[in-house]
Amino acid sequence: MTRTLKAGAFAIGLLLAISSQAFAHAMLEKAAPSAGSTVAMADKISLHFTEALEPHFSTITLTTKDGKPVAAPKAVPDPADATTLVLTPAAALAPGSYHVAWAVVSVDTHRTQGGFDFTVKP
Amino acid sequence: MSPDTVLLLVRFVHFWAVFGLFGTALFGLYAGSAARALVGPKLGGPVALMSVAALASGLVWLFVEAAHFGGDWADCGDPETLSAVAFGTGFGKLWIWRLLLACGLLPIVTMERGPARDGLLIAVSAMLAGSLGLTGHAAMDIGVRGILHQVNHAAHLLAVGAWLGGLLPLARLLAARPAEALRADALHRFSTVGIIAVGTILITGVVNASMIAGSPIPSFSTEWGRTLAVKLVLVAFMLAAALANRMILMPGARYRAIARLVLLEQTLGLAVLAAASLLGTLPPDGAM
Repeated sequence: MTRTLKAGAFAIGLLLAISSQAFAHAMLEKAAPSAGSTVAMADKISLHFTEALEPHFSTITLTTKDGKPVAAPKAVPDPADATTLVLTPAAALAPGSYHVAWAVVSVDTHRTQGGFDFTVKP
Repeated sequence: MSPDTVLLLVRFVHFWAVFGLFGTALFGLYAGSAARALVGPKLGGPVALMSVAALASGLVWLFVEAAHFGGDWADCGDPETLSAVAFGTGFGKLWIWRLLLACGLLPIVTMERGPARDGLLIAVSAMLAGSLGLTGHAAMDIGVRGILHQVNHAAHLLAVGAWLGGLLPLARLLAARPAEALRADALHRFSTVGIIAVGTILITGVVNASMIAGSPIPSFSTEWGRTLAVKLVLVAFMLAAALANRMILMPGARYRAIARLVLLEQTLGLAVLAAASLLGTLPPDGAM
């Protein structure tokens, strides 16, 4: 029985050592431009998630206020950081408000999605 | 039905088949030669069924995951999406190996009963059960923490297989009304393995929940936390049944009551697998 207790104590010690919070399922942690913001210019949309993504199944769609899609190649992960997905529109964004819709699959196989608006200053 | 609902069913069938196979194969190793000779011939059917179910559910899982990743049923019939899932995602790369392993079960179950077949079954089913720990929530961490999480999860799954899966051959053995000495011996051996398995399950379970959600105590504010709480209550009932067997019924040699409790444990075990099937698909922090 004391052996079980020791094993338990070891496990709890291990837990305390490693239990900095991590997340399962990728949640949007940081966005640039950020949700609801007004920016002078935006040459790319960069979304940082809480978990590494599967690039094949992770997309960002950018539309104008009246729902027209903004031309851009498929969003790609940041080469230095698998938790960040970047969309680079084909041309600089004209002033106006935009909607960002994202749908991603995290490496733990879960699909999440969401969206937000931002505005480019005239 | 949405891909996500079907995914739950497929997960359940796959868990049942893989854990059942591992526990059944392992039982032959520790139950003793007399018990093995008695119960072995009665396990051919279940082992074949679980092998086919493991392969079939594994295959369906890959297709359903394509629909889940793509967000639409049409994706599981699209060759481009399927190949992106199979060769372009961490899940797919692991899954190809797991499916090859599961294919290997088929020639093994047609082999003649003997040490070679038993050994191969234990090895392949152990890899199938343990490798489930490399995907799902345990894949969310990176670096050393990620490896610890996966190793811990694999140990959890192997212990679950040893306990839950071992109940099937044990029930068959008890139903065969073996001689008194054999029955007492096999029960004692199963019970000893069960204690080791349960200890491993509890420790690795606490570590796993802590690494996923930050605490082993389930939070009632998320669906994940509530599902975990239900799972823990079910496990507590299973433990109570196992303890009653070990402390009261075994010393009293009350074999009919033991057989009934083993059936009850199996039923509870299936409910635990159902809860586990759901847990792996829910976001632990409640957001969606």
